[in-house]
Amino acid sequence: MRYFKLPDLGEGLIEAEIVEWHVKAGDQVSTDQVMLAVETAKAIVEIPSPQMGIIEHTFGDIGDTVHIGEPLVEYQGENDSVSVVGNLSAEPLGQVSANNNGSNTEANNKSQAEAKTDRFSIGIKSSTMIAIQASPSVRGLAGRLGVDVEQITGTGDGGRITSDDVEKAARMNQNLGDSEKLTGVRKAMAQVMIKSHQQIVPVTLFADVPLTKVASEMTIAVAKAIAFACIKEPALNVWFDGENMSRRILDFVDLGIAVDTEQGLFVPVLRQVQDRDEDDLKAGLEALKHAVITRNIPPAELTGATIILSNYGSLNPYCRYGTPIVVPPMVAIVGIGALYAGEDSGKVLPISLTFDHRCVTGGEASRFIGYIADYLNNIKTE
Amino acid sequence: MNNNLENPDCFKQVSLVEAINMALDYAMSQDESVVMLGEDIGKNGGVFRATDGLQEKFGQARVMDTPLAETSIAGAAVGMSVAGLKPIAEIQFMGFIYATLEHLICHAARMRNRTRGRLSCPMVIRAPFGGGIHAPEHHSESTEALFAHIPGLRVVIPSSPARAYGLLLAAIENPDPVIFLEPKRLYRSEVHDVNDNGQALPLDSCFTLREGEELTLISWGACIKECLAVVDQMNAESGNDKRIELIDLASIKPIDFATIAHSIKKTGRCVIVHEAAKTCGVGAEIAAYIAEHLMAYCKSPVKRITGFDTVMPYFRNEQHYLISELDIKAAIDESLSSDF
Amino acid sequence: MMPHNNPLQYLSAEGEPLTERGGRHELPDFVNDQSLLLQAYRWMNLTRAFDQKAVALQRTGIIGTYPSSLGQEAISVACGMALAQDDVFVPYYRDHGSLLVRGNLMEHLLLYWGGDERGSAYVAKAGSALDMPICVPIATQASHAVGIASALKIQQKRQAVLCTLGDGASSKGDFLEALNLAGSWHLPVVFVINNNQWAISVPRHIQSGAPTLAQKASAAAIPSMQVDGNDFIAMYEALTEGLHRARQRKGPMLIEAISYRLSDHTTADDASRYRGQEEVDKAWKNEPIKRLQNFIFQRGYWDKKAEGCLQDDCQTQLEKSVQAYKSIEAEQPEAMFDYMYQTWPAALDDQVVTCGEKYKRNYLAAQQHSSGFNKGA
Ligand SMILES: Cc1ncc(C[n+]2csc(CCOP(=O)(O)OP(=O)(O)O)c2C)c(N)n1
Ligand SMILES: [Mg+2]
Repeated sequence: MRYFKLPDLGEGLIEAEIVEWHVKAGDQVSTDQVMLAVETAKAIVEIPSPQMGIIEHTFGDIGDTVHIGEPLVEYQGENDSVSVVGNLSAEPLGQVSANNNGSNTEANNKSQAEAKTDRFSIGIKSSTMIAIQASPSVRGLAGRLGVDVEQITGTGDGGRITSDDVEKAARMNQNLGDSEKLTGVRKAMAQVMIKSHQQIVPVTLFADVPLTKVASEMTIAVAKAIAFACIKEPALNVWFDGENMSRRILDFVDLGIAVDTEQGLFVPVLRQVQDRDEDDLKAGLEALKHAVITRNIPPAELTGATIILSNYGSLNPYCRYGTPIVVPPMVAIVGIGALYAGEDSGKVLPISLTFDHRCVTGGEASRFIGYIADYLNNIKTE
Repeated sequence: MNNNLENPDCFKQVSLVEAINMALDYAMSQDESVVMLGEDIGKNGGVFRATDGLQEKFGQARVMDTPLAETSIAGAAVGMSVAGLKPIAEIQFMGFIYATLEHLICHAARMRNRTRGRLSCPMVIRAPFGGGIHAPEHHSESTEALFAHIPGLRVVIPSSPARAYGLLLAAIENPDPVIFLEPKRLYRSEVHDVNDNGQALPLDSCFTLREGEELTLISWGACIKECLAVVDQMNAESGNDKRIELIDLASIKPIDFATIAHSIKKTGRCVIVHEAAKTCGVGAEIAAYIAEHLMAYCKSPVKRITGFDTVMPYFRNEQHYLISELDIKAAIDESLSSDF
Repeated sequence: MMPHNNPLQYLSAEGEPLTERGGRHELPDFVNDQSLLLQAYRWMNLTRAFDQKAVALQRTGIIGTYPSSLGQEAISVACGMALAQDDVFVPYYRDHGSLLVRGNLMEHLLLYWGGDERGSAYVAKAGSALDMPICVPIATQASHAVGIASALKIQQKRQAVLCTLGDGASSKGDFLEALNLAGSWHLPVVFVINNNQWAISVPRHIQSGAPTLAQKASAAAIPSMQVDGNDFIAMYEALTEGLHRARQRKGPMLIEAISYRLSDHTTADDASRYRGQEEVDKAWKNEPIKRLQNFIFQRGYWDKKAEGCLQDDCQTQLEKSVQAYKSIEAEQPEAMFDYMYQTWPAALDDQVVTCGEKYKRNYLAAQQHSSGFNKGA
């Protein structure tokens, strides 16, 4: 053999420290001649040479730790056959991790050098998954009929899916075609909405705000107005942790803007709205929209909003009011409808503000709308 | 954060066997009635050094090298515990525990019951077990199911230094006999930060090591090492750090079925891994529970990856018996891709 | 009969014949049998060389944990030599010398300690087909020895059973129960306690409050004696007598052979943790090989040249055996199923298939991964 590697000298040891070398490079050694002494967790042990030969190289100095399977000496002119009968120095077979090729000593080195962290939790962890119940035979039937059990509502005990349910779903598929499984953004939307519905206690205020002057870019104007209102009434620019009953009032306004696309709803985020002028914001919004439509939006641009604006009025001139959905951990969302002509034929902007009543009061929300109106009408407030 | 003034935080980097030593040391210093007995546990500190230094610290009266006689060790522990001590007996290897069975089954496990609560046996039997350290014949088997079958015994198997520490303290505190089996392949395999604050972990509970939504992997003892490697790798590769859920059973008897049920309802798939032989192994009990109570949540059949129903091969061929990471991964892949 | 508190001994530590010791005056007749003594001497040397080699093989990862019999070669070799071929030997794990004398091949002993079941598969050339495999669960073999002796008696065979065990083993119920049964049924069995003073780290005095281990036989009404286990002549004589009695249906006997474990308990042990070097140095002065060597030199049976040849010869034999051992391929994975039952249970069909798949999966992966030596100098 060319390389003599440290075997397990006890039972289940993983390393040893070199105590003394009795040989050095260039030495001729005979079989069973003691080459070095090492100290394991259990004993000081002298290690002999397994064969006759000339030592080309010794690995490790006194005080060094050597792991099992790492080389101790190299012999001159030998082939590297690892003819270990009892397999005592071989690494365990069948490891999945690719970095364990041939020698897993590097991984070992690391595991020894730095204490690994040990993550565990006691017993049950809460989860929000919805369990589907169906017996194996019903699942088998569903498989044969090409029905996805996850898309069926069970009518059996405790919502269990029965074979009738599966057959009904199969008939429906036959008559109406297969249902389409939500994917991507649409699926994400569904999940976000479910989460919101489970957690939030929503209240929506509707306001018709007469405008003394109409901005050319209503979305941008309202964005600035929201930023203004957030500074005046910070209770709505908040991240709320319902589990721990704690809120974080934010001193910047990162405004999520709802963008409708064929694939579904995107909400890219305009950052630091409070500090930017309208042209800058307009350019920024155009860039975001373009990135969304061309599907080039980096995921980071879709997260971290502090409050949301949805301008559904821009999609249809008849849409005035909505009950927009708050997305946790945010506590508010502003919807604006299409401008319409008021009584004295002045323009009126319909605003719908939903807030999470767990964290925001009606008074705070009403004032918030007032500040939006003030800003849009250029009324200076202190 | 630990606000316990009596037991301030005291983190130490220790291996599993050192964590056991630490827990024994803590229990001995806190409670005069705790004593230890076994072969070679004194000056030698146990053949794996689990009791290293404890005889020197607590004296020969409390750390007793016994004559070589497992039957006496168990029987004496029964008597000691009845009489108010809390004996912790070490059986040098699980392969030599069988001589204790009469005392454990006929006495320790039923003392409380047969005296209607008048007497009891608060004792711990510790023994290293399992393969993979190329030890001689009789030194590598995993027969936890033998003990799990006995009403009145608790069976506990830790799989990390922190759990070894917390569970051993719990076993010592527990008023009933606990068989505490130590996966010796993990004795020195890793070093973790463990808080030596005397805090016990709950005995009748599983531990969730990784949360996941697509499959529940249940194991215990040394196999946890391979399970963790597989789960971390599969979760990372899929870009979903919540793919496979890994549960360390830890308490082999009684079993925390609530946690298992909760997990299976979520994932609908289950793979059980244990080193012990398949037939009548503890995996069978879990699979039976799932069949009885959770069948309707299962998307695919429960799979067991276990040792074979053979005598454990001597160490030259033991790797053909032991469960590898690839074996576990193959089972998970199969479970994920097979629906009823 | 109470056992001797004064062990049977013929030779002093220096190999001088003692008189008036151990209740015997004259050296036994067999000391005139030159070839017998030389045989014993050769076996003891081979045993020592084998132990030394086996430890080196463990240190280089070629076999697993190994219990050296260093210092106890006289006991072991005397057991092997006193046994008749069809006597049944029921050994424990520190009986390498007896196993060699019985005709077991060194490569087969290495197989066993190298973690291969086939180490126990062969009938020894000079042994009985009933010789039991090495027993690891301490003292359990004592009960089996009694069972075998009882079978021999029922079958009306004139053979003896020899069972060995350690001083630690004498504390186990199995041993005491075996003595009791052997006495009660008057069985043809001889027990030999290799009292090497230590059971791993536990010293002899912790094992028992009794001044001798031999006296444990008294309660079973079995004759017993202490023998200097480092004196081959005393050991051989005591054993010959015991086995002869057993074959003559005169009942069981217990021999407590006093010796010393000069090595660690096994290669997994570190005796310096629990015993001082002084004690070991002192024990070396009593070791058995030097003692017999001096005696055969004195008697003119042996000389320097013969000694040199013997050592060379041991090394040559060992090298050959180690080569033979290394050339034995591991068994197929599925071999673990081969000897589970005489008749195949269908329930195992699936498991054999799984075993084969598992091997392919892990073995192929290992081949893909082993890009050889990939850690630079
Ligand atoms: C029933 C049992 N308990 C414990 C062991 C672990 N063990 C192996 S050897 C040994 C000491 C035996 O001492 P002794 O009987 O004096 O024999 P020695 O090894 O000294 O020859 C022990 C405790 C075992 N093999 N079997
Ligand atoms: Mg002994």
